[in-house]
Amino acid sequence: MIRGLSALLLLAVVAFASEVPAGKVSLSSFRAIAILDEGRIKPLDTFARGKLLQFSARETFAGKPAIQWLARVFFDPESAADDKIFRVENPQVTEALGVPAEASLRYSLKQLEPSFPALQELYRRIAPLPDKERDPVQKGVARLYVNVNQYLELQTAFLFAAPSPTLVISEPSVRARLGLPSHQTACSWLELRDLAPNLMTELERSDVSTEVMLAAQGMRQMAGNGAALSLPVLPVKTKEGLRWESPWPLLSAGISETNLLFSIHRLSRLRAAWISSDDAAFQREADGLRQEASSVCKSAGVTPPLKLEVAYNLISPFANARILYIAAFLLLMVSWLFIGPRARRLVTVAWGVILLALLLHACGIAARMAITGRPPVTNLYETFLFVAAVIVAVSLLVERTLGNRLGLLVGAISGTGFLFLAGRFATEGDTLRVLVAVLDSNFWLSTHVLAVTIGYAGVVLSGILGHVWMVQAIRGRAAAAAQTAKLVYGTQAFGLLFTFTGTILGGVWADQSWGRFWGWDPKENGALLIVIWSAMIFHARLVGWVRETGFAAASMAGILVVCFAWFGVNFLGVGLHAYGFSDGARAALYAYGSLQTLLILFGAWFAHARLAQSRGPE
Amino acid sequence: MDRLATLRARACRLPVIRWFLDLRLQILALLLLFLLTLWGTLYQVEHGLWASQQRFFYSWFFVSGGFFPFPGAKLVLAYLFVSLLLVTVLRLSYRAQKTGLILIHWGLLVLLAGGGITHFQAVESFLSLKEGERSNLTSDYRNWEISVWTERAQATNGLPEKRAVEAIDTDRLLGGKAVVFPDAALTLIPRRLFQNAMPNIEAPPSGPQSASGFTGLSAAAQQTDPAQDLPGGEFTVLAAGATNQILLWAGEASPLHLGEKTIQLRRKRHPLPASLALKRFTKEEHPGTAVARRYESRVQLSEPRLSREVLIRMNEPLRFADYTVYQSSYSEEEGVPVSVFAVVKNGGRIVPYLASVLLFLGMLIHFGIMLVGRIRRREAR
Repeated sequence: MIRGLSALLLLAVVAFASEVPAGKVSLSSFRAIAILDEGRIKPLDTFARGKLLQFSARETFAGKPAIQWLARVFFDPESAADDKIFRVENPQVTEALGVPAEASLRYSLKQLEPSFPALQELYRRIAPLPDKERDPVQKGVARLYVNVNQYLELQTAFLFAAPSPTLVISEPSVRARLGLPSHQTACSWLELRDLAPNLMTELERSDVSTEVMLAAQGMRQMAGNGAALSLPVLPVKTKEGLRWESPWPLLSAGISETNLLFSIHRLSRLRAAWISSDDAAFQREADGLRQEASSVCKSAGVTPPLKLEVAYNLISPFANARILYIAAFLLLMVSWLFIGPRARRLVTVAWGVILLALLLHACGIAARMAITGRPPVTNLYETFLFVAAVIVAVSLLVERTLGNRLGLLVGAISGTGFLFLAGRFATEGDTLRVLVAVLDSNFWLSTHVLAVTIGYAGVVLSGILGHVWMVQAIRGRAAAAAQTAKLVYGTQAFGLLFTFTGTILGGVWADQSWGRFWGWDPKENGALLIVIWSAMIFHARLVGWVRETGFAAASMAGILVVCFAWFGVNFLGVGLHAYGFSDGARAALYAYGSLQTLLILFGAWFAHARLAQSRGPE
Repeated sequence: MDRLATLRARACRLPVIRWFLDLRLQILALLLLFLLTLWGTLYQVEHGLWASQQRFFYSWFFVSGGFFPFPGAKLVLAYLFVSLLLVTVLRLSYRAQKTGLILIHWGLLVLLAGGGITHFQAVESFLSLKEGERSNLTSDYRNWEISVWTERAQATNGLPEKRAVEAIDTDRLLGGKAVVFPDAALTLIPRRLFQNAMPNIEAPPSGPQSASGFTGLSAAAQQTDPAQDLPGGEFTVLAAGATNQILLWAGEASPLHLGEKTIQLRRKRHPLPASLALKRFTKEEHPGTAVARRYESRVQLSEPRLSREVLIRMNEPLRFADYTVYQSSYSEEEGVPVSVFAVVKNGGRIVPYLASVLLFLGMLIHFGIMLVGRIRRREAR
């Protein structure tokens, strides 16, 4: 199944991948070069997106893909230094640094350069503080400091291959003796390194030129500076598996392995091809690098699906699925304006669009599973993707049974909403990141986590249907409302079943890894709250405390309980499950909570009154 | 059969039993449990997990705002347990069609019972082992003891010899009364006790003696979780006709020597019926990061009859007798890896598993019956 869906994604990429070579070369091979980052082997394309997202909170620069920006940072750092990519949200940070404020909140390296000493000094003072104790300005400074440093590391990654003003040898006779081509005077570090024996002979001469002495000094200095620069793109097979090397540290340490040196020369030629816009050479070198890395990986038994990941990035399945969900929603809205065959045709089209969206959505999830080798849900971001898919799928089943456009409507709205939320969470970094030790269990990830997540989906769907019920009730459609009420009940039972199962499985997992079945940890409590809430409304229905209105209202409130369990406890930032903590959406969650409460109270009261009115004569 | 039914019906009418069988009261109990769980979760932000557990979940009652008494989760769960028990005995109709529901109810009952068994008798402790080290004693997280023993010359084979240790729980000192260690012929009189203490560096050098040389202790702010406290105290020791003023502090690694007597304040020890020796600790990190991917310990488990090698890792604990040993964390001491295990002694650890099986079976049968019924009805239509 996964393989099939992944293959589908790969096929689809052919349509997307025929990009116009902006800049002067095509980056299609370059973006698939492997790099080790945050513990994971990923394509440069993902790496570039991640870095740009981290620096500027966007995945594109000036409307162009991140990989183009990264290529410029690598190969033409001088011009890239003018790109305004450092996002500084807090004006007090730029004020403290003495940088004139930009309306776009984004600054270039050149703009920040004069303030480096001030930035360094500020950071030195806040570095000992743990992140939790830093105020927003201090957090801003720390973030900028880290970003600038990481940027500088990227910017200098390829300098070994660039002609340097400190390595100038202009005398033709010396150049000839060294074996340097006659047309240029500035040399690259790598170039001089390759001519090291000649350089040594030249240094031993009694009439050694000042330029040669300065160049030798410059080389030592550059080697010293480069020793810690990391760009782990060169895999080496070792007894323990794979080790990833970076060009600069290898060169500084005096590399001897010919195959690594060969790869480093490839990197150098890659840069040269980019500079001279030699597309053929660029493809050749990029492909060469990819194939070398992939054969080393393969020999160590590692086969990261880099092409699939690049395809996944290019297609952005979830962003596009979201567009399709929106389109389906609009089609449905329009269908209500018409009656008869025209409306039916529109509904059929909406069915097609939403099925296509769900297919893309599912392909996206399958691709993620193939890339990470994990079950579909391993972090907060993925819960949104998965819950959205489950809700849409169940809604479509409801639609197939009832055929009154309700399922389609709920599916389209939920798909849009949850994928929108997922998009917000995607800005927090690599969403395919590696897992901490306790989560390293595909068995529990695919049982407990999936069961609880499906449970969330059921309870949320029941709540959404509660909203639908409310609209129908307020419009006085008693019969339709009664039918919806049955759905509210059924989906709530579905949610309870899965949440309960998931909670019990969670207890078993906790017993396996922490030594206790239950410990009143916030996430455990969250799941328990859903179970109790759900159990409570079913039993309250038995004693007649709630009927149609009460049940629908309580189901709507169930969404709030799920919100608390799902990410509210992550906002609290305590407990063993605090791996999904995030800062920004807290206010939004509170606002939503208050609005939803008001809606439930007034809506239920109004709906109840309207229903009583419309059913009155019976 | 009829007599049984009459008996059940009659029992149901008893006033006390009616309380427990009242569905409305049961729903209110669920509501209370909901509120307690919510409150107890939010409480953790400020006060930590341990304080929240004690206040909301492991208490019969607690007082809110200094005045209002509030039932604790223990009471609510106990009520629900008895209710469920009475429902299963008196109310539930035992017909084949209801098999699913019956199993679900019994499963819940067993689950709650398991929670109770664990709560009342499980003992949690930990064991830190350096590579090459062996031990059959685990340390308590929050309870402390004062141990006294007589130091003798090391046995000739280089191994530490067995020694007779007398230990008393520090709780016994709280009254301020003298404690006698009969075998060591030593009496300990507490002068001042601290829940959490730190050495007082400004104390006069002529003060009482301690193992690490400081002469004063002062109170430190108590931590939200007492496991992080380092208690201490000032004592008068009467032994062999001599009187000594001493300081004992939990933060000291080495014991205090008084003549041939040795005395130490340390985490309470729990003996294991077997010994564990750490042969090798291995840790694997995600490449290029400091994030651990997995870590595991190869351990020699020596039970009285059998010695075997076992591998303990995250999600794969070692179980023997009533004990379960979990890979908890790790550290390093002088370049030698130290593996930390959580050790739980729980006679009822199998109960929640039994409950899970009952619940899953129950749900499967219940929903299966419902599904079959629905299909039949549809076919009939």
